[in-house]
Amino acid sequence: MNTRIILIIALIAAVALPFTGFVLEGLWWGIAGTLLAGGLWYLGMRYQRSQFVHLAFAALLGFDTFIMLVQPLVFGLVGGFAALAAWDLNRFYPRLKAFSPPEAARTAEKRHLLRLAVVLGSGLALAGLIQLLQFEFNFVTSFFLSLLALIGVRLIAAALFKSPSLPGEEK
Amino acid sequence: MRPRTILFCALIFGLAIAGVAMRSGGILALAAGFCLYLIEAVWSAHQKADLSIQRTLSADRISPGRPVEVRLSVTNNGPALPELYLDDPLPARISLIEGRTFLLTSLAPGQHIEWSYTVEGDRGDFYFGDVTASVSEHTGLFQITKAFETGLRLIVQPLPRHMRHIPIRPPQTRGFAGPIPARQSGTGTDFYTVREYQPGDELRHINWKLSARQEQQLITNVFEQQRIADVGIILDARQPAYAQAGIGNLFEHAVRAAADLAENFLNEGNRVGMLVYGSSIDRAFPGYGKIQRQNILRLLARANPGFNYALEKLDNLPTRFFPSRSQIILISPLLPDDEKVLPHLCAKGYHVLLVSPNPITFETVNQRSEWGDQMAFRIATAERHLQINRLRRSGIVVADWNVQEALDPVLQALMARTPQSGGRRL
Repeated sequence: MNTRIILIIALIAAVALPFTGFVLEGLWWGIAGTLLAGGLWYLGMRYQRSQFVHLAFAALLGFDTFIMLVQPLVFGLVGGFAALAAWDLNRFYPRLKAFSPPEAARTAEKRHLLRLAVVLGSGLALAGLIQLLQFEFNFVTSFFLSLLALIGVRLIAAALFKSPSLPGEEK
Repeated sequence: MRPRTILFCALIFGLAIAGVAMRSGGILALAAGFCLYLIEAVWSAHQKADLSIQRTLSADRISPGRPVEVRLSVTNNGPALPELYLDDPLPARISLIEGRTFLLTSLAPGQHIEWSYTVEGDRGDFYFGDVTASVSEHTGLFQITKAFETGLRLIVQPLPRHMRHIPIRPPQTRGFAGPIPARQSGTGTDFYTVREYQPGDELRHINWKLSARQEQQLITNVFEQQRIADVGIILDARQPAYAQAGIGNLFEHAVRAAADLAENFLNEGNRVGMLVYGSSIDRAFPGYGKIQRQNILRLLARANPGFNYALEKLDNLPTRFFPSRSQIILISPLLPDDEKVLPHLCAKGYHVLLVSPNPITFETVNQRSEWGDQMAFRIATAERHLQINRLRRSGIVVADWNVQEALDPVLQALMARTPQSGGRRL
């Protein structure tokens, strides 16, 4: 039950924050876009179409990114994390209903919500810290740093997927 | 990699690139937060699923429509699994009647869990294959799937129905006492012939009325020995033989008839063998008793109509499979060419009883098809009658069986009016 409430709150926040930003900015296409993305997400949830949800998530992140450029960061940043929470719970909630036995479901729900809260809290804190530190990079440095990050993540992913697995396992 | 993971990674890179391109710290901060989520997922991703899974069935041989409980027990021998999805796919033609074939749960190290579901199925030999276990971490970004071998076989065999004694008279019987007249004098219950009294004959067997008409001569009644016999049952599983009537149902009637007959003859102590002639030749060598019953029912459970060019006609029927001069029961709807082959069985000394499920009446009753034009029906029926008459003239006992009726009375009526040929040996 907690998961459902948190999912609804996260989804409302994910739509409402960029929506408010666009209202304040007076951009009608942004208002319409966030509402459409929210509607698409709702349809995806209702008819269990994960593609709709993925599309809406990507769209909302795009709107969050744009609104961060023109409005205070809180709209885009918190909206982005709310969208991530909703996206995560959107997958978890239907699975929670299928969990068996009920005790396992309760334990899994508690553990999942706790982990999500910790990760998102840490993410927000990290984002805030980055904002506070206010590093100044020129474009070339930023580009190379991004390239480095890209290579790093690629290496991690390669290490993960090349790790020995049992016969018959697939990832 | 899963689509969800690809999407998420793409979004992170998109945010990072957008942040760099627009020199926006906020966007980069958002990307960093998302990276943290990804790192947490990578950190808690599982490398393997160390599970032991066992599947048990409440019964491995059942009759159609009888439920079977499938029980699975799972033990986690590895680290904690926050999301474990177990899927036990059902074989085709097995239907679920209670419970569910999948389980989503979490397992602590060493934890054991059991779940069960109930299924039923039509006749057949079914194999429950691997159980698939999918383990994912909390975010669902990384998932491993592994198949666990827990193969089990479930045989849904036809349930034989009781039949009354079928008075067959094969030319040759076996040495042990049984219910089938042996065409030889000896101890028995049925009158066989009379002969001159010989010392040692029981007085109660003297035919006094006949003796009174003789001069100085006593006549003794002689009875016929009753023994067991060799019975070979051939089930015709050639697909063209059943094609007109819709392969499934008429064949099921034929299978049930084969099961009923085998059960009946085995119960009477006879030696029974079974041959399924279709896409291949499957057999149960002649034998007695309960083990042979199981062999035959297992063979019938697996029987399906099939096509094989080599076995298109009955020419390749391996008659040597059955002892010479024994009783052969062929269950077949008949194909046009069969009437040329079947008399050869009689010529080889076998006593042939043909049980022929009538595909014409079956089709007109069951299918309610457009094909049921009166003239066509009459022509097909006339052709079949002609074919059956030709077979009867060649010495084959033919039961033209309308499958809407029980087989037992059809056979009783047929055997009662069929003259049993064969010489008498004293």
